[in-house]
Amino acid sequence: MEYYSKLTDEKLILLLKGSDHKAYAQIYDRYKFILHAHAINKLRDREEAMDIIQEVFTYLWAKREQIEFTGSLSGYLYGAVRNAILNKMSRNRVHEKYHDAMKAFALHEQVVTDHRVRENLLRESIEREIAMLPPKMKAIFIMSRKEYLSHREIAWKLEISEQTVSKQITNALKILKVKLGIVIYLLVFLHL
Amino acid sequence: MEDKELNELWERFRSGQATPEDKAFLESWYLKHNQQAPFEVNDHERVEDVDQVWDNIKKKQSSKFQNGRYRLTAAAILLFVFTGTYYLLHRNVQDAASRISKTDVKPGRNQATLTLASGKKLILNNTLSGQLANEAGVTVSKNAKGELIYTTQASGNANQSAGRINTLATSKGEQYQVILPDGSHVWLNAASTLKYPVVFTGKERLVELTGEAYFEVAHNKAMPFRVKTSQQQVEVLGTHFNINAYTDEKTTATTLLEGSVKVTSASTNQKMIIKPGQQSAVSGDAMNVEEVDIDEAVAWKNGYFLFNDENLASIMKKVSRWYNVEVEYKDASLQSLVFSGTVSKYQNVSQVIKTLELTNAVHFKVLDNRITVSN
Repeated sequence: MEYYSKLTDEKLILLLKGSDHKAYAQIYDRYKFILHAHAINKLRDREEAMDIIQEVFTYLWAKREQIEFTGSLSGYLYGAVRNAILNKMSRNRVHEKYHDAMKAFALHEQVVTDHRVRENLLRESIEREIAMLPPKMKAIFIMSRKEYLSHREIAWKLEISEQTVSKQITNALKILKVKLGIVIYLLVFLHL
Repeated sequence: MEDKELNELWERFRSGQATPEDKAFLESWYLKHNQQAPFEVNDHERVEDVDQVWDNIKKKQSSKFQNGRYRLTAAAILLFVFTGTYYLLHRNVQDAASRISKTDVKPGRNQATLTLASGKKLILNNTLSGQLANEAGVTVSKNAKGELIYTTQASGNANQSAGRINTLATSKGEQYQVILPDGSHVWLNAASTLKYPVVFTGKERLVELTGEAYFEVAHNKAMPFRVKTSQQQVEVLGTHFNINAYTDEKTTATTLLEGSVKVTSASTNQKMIIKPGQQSAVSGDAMNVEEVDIDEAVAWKNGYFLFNDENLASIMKKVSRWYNVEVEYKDASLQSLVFSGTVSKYQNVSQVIKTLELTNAVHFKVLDNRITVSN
């Protein structure tokens, strides 16, 4: 897992699409605390927050090939958690307990009509919640996301050119996907 | 904005018909919702929760590789018999009286034995009604529907009644319903026992079960409802679920209809959250979860037997508990025959076995509360 923890989100998406379960596990490790903290903040219920995280990640693996990560991995995950929470609220008349708050909102607050602005506000609000996490959990998220080894560093360590590294990673991914996909997939499960 | 408008808005969202304006409103509100004062969860709980979720995800994913079910037994298909089931559902069981003969057995009935905190035993049957006992401020009574009800009196002193345990027990051929002091509704299947305090105090609502029961737990976030059985503990906040924990079954099965429950294995302390439509199976150190037909799990409570590729051994165990009969096999291999079908449980046993015999795979002989199975 050491290797995976240093990969960028973009790389993890590629590996995930190639059915690499370790990449999937890494995405979980990277985002679990922040998404969980957000869900628990919105729902104020541990069990329900757990349901949401399970739902979002189960879907991520099941639909890994179809999901279009148009923006970033984090953007996708934040939106997915929000949608899962709103969905949960919409069922079984759960939403009724929020009606007073919603009426007050309609009276006093501005609706943000541009969805891109809403996505940015969502990102800000979720990532603000990172600051409130205990240091260790904060570290998992920030370290793994920001302090991955750049291609330049790997190249320097291996004394090969930066381009070759990119190419080799791309090749490795292709092979993994085409030839070894299923084998790796099963091996991953054997190790779990 | 009116409640009606909001209800419609949520409904559009739920059904995937939300307009861009609907989404803009909901998502904007969502951004502001619970923005202040973060919910207090400690580090330990955070780690425990995310680890638990990962365990659940992995288990679900790995079970997909074990899909191959190798059933070597012959599968026989039963005719589905729904006749009359609906009308019999809410009918008082004891009224379904039919002639008993040596070669038939009438169905079980609504009867149970209640043991009060004092040790006094009461047989709950049709002759007994109204207020049965008073457990230090808690009234124990039986309503017109034949359910046992616990009501805390306004003047009652919770401290006085705290710690008083009642036990509701059914033998083979009996079933009963109880409404606990918190409003939770429990259906107790045959040959089962439920132990509970006459009033719930403290941090949890703890009950103990042997055998099988269906629970509709009243929601109370502040006081989780816990069901202890020999192999596991189930924790819920408020939800509908069935637990099958008969001591003559290797596996304790918990089936969820609504909400969410946490199952903890007694031997390994392993925890698992199950979702509606799922069933957890705890057997010794092993713990599994799978998607099941929930109708099958609660058929007994709804008044019928429902078998879905179920082996004869398991079917006859249910028959034996409800009709209070002994079952004997001429040939042990018959036990692994598999059947599917539905039959009302409020008919005589002869009706049930007749339906099974339609397959021509088995034959039954009934004599003096004993059923002999042959081929």
